Amino acid sequence: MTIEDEVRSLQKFRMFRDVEGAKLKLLAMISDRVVFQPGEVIYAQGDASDAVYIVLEGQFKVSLVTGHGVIDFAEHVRGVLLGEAGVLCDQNRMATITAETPVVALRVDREPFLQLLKESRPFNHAVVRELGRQIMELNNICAQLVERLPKGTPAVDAGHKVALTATHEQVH
Amino acid sequence: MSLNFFSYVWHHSRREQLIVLIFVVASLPFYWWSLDVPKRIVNEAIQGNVFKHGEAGARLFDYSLSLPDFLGGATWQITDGLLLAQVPYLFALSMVFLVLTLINGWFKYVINIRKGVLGERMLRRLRFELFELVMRFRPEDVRTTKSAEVTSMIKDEVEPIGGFFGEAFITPAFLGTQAITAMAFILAQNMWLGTLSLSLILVQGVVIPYLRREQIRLGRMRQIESRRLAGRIGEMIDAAPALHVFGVALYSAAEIGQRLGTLFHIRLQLYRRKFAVKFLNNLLSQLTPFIFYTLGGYLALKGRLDIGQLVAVIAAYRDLPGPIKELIDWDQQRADVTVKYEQVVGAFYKETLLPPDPVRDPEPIPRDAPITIVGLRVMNGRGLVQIDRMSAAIGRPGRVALVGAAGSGRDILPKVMGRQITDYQGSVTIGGHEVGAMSDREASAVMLYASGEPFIMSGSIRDNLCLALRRALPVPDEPKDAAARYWREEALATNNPIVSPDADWIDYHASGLSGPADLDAAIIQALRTVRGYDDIFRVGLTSKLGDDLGEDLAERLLGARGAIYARYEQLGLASYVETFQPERFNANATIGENLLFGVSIGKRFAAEKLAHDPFVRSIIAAEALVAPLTNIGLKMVETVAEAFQGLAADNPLRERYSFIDEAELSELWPQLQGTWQRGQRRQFSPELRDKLVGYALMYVEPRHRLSLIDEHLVARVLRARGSFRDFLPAKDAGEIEFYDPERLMPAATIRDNLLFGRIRYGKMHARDKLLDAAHAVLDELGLESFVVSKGLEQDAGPGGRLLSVQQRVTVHLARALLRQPDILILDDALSSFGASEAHMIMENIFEAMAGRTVIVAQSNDDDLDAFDLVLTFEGAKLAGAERKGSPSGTQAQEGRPVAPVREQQPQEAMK
Repeated sequence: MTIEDEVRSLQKFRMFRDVEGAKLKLLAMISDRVVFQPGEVIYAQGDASDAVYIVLEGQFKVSLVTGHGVIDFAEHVRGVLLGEAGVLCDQNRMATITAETPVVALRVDREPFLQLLKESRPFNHAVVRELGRQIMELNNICAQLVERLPKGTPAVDAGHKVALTATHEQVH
Repeated sequence: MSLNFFSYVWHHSRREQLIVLIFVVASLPFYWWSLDVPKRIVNEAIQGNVFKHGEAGARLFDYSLSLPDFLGGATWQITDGLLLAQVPYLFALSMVFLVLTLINGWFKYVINIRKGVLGERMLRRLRFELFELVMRFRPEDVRTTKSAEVTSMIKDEVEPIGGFFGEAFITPAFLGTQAITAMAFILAQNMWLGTLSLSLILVQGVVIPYLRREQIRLGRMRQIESRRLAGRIGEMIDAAPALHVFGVALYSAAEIGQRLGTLFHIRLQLYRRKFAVKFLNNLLSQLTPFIFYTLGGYLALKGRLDIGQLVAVIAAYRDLPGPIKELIDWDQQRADVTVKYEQVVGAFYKETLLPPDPVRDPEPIPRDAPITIVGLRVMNGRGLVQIDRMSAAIGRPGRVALVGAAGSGRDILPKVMGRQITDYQGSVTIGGHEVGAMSDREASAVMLYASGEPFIMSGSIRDNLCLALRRALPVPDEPKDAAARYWREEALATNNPIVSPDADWIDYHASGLSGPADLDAAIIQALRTVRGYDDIFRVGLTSKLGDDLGEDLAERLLGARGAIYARYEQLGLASYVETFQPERFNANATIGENLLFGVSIGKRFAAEKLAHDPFVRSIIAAEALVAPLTNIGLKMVETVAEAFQGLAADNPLRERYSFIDEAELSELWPQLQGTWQRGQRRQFSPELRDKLVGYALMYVEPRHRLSLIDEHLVARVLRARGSFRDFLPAKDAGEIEFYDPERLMPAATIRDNLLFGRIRYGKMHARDKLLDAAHAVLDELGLESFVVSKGLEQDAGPGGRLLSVQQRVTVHLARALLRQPDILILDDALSSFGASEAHMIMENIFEAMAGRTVIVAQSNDDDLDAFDLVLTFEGAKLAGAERKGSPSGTQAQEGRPVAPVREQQPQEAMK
């Protein structure tokens, strides 16, 4: 697989439809192509957000470590952009991502990703649009969940965090 | 230190000055004799005056001692001398002359040496005193001082003063005596002519200094202006990267040009003055003989003056201008030097200086002595109130947060407590000691201040880490040999320190260490606390192995190579590394590396020069690699030109292709297009072809992913690898070290030595997993400390320029923690880390500082749960103090944080 192939794959994504070919090529050039086998963790909750992934192929699972154990938050996800929120907000990974099928992705390190956002307005728009889309999807999911709750359940508290905040203890 | 040059010199060197003067006086008789003997040789020996009357011999060396008449006029004959014929007489006198010449030469030599040594000693003392003064500047004064100006003063401006120290008293004494003798002689011959020439000299003595006043003023201006120039140039060099960014090089050039112009103008005026004064001087001294000839001659003709007297006067006068002229030169120098001295010393003279460090350690301040702030008021240089009448008591130990917006009191208070601002009203005391008046030694024993601007000095990372520890007072060694004794005596003679910087200055005790053996462990611990350990370990892994390893160590490292590989197999990581194998193409290495199959030792086969090396070129040509490599280079250039279009030359996105220089590319591109238009795609100029081949040699398929490597190319590169090795001339064998699984490669990094291959691209976290596994193996084999010490040996570069910003901060913090201070003040010290990283470091610091005090400037929205006491600032005012219960961690007992007393002051208007 060459950069040309990767650019062609990227061009197929809707989120990149407005990004010019040269910038997609640049994106491919500054990234590494990485392959994850099924079951392999792409990143784990609490890891430093050091890169963004653009998933070219494959499905993955999102899980959350909470005080009550591990919740598989969503399965069979086919996203494009992975891990951008942590990079943009300078937060550690909020969830664990595990490959379900072989996942082929482009890995863009944090710094080049942020640099590219500055460099290319269409790319910047694409990322913002993708974030917006994700929020709308989440709203939809939340609404469905709330619908399932028995009447009279108190409203959720946005300040309450379900995921264990990772206190990244020193390994050594 | 005296502001007056002469009293300074006299104070510090009178003994030497007097000794030299004695030498000068002792040399005078021999000097006069050496003038006298030639006359005798001519008159008595050659012309034979003493043999005129037919004597066969004359007496030489007959000395007698006579008493003056009023004591009876008795005469004792000391020796009868020798009775010599004319020729022996001549030889004897000539021998005397030779001996006298030698004696004079010896005197001159000794006097010059002594004068020089004296000057050099004084220069050393002066420079050291100036340096000591700078180090005692208050922080406010240091901030307004340009380092380049101080450097130029200590280094260059005092240099000419050094030459003058020896002349300061000796020259005027010596020349003055000579001149006075000659003058007295003239006066004795003829009162009238004597008075006349004396008055002319007096005119010189009055007029010339008057003219010189302007010269002195100009000299002062020249000195100040050139110092400013030095300061400004220094500043611009420091700011050069920014100047390039703004593209304002021309403006800066204009400024320097103007400064040079001003300097030129001053110097020109100075020269005019100088030579005008010289001219006048010469004129006046020539005027005196004119008067002697005309007036004296007239008087002699009239018979009022004896011709013999006139001749004597003129002869005596001939000896006068020499000393006088030299005296005038001396005076000129004196004017120059005193101006310079006063200028320099004046610039170092500040109203208030920090107290000098006491030689003995002051009484330690108890660990739980509270910090008390009463009526603190801080104004900046422009009169703006930065902290307004605040009072608080901070109990120790405790964790104190200073909270507020940037620029509010929370940024100022740590600077006051950390003695970065010493000019304040009110009082800030620790255990009753006023912070602003403490000596460095006293303050540094109890607290450390760390800002977000780390000061890294040139030297290794280890040097920088240990810097804060170097506060022991090593006992000076008793000198062992003559050289050491000389060294020490000279230092004592100039009031310089006698303890060598190479002595062990590290204060182990204060940091809780028992001795040098604990130091490494403490450094590692401190680095872990600030989360910089892994980084240093990695730096160690990427540093050159070097060839100064012991045999045992080398063997263990070679063993580690195998052990690491075995561990990889065990962990299923083996496929993440592609090892170097003589018969295989390593897809994860560059084409160039595959061709060389070794580590370049010198510059000759360095990656960026490879394509230009005639030997490599011939190998490439012999294996028919020129055309395929040119094509690869071409494809790379095309890709880069397309994708990087419009990116600035230093844009970090170019990193992966950084070997294709933007400037080079913009030069190449038109050439390439020109060649295509002429339809000669395959015919590039040799230069162009070398460039393209050079790029191709940097190509790594999985990294650059342009699908440019096929079986044919691989086969050819492998063949080239073989012939490179076979045909490498014997004289170049030292330029390269071929990969060999059984040998270490001193010129390669430790990592390359251990992995002996390349990490495959496309495997996630491969690098981390591999390095972690390698780390674990090294740990098990006891090689970890070797790698870390290699990392610590890395050069930090001037001002730490070879380190990343975060590495610099890490080193800065780690060395503060290494000291284990009772109070650690962090003034925005973690600002260069991301929020989560900073939080983790903070937690570690709290842990490491358990039972001691940490004072941190925080912004409003930081998490304050971990603090015992939170002081909130609104602008310059202390708006509130909140004492929290002791959170997990330190238990503050009797010294528990006390809620601050807020003085209710009438609302004073902010100026």
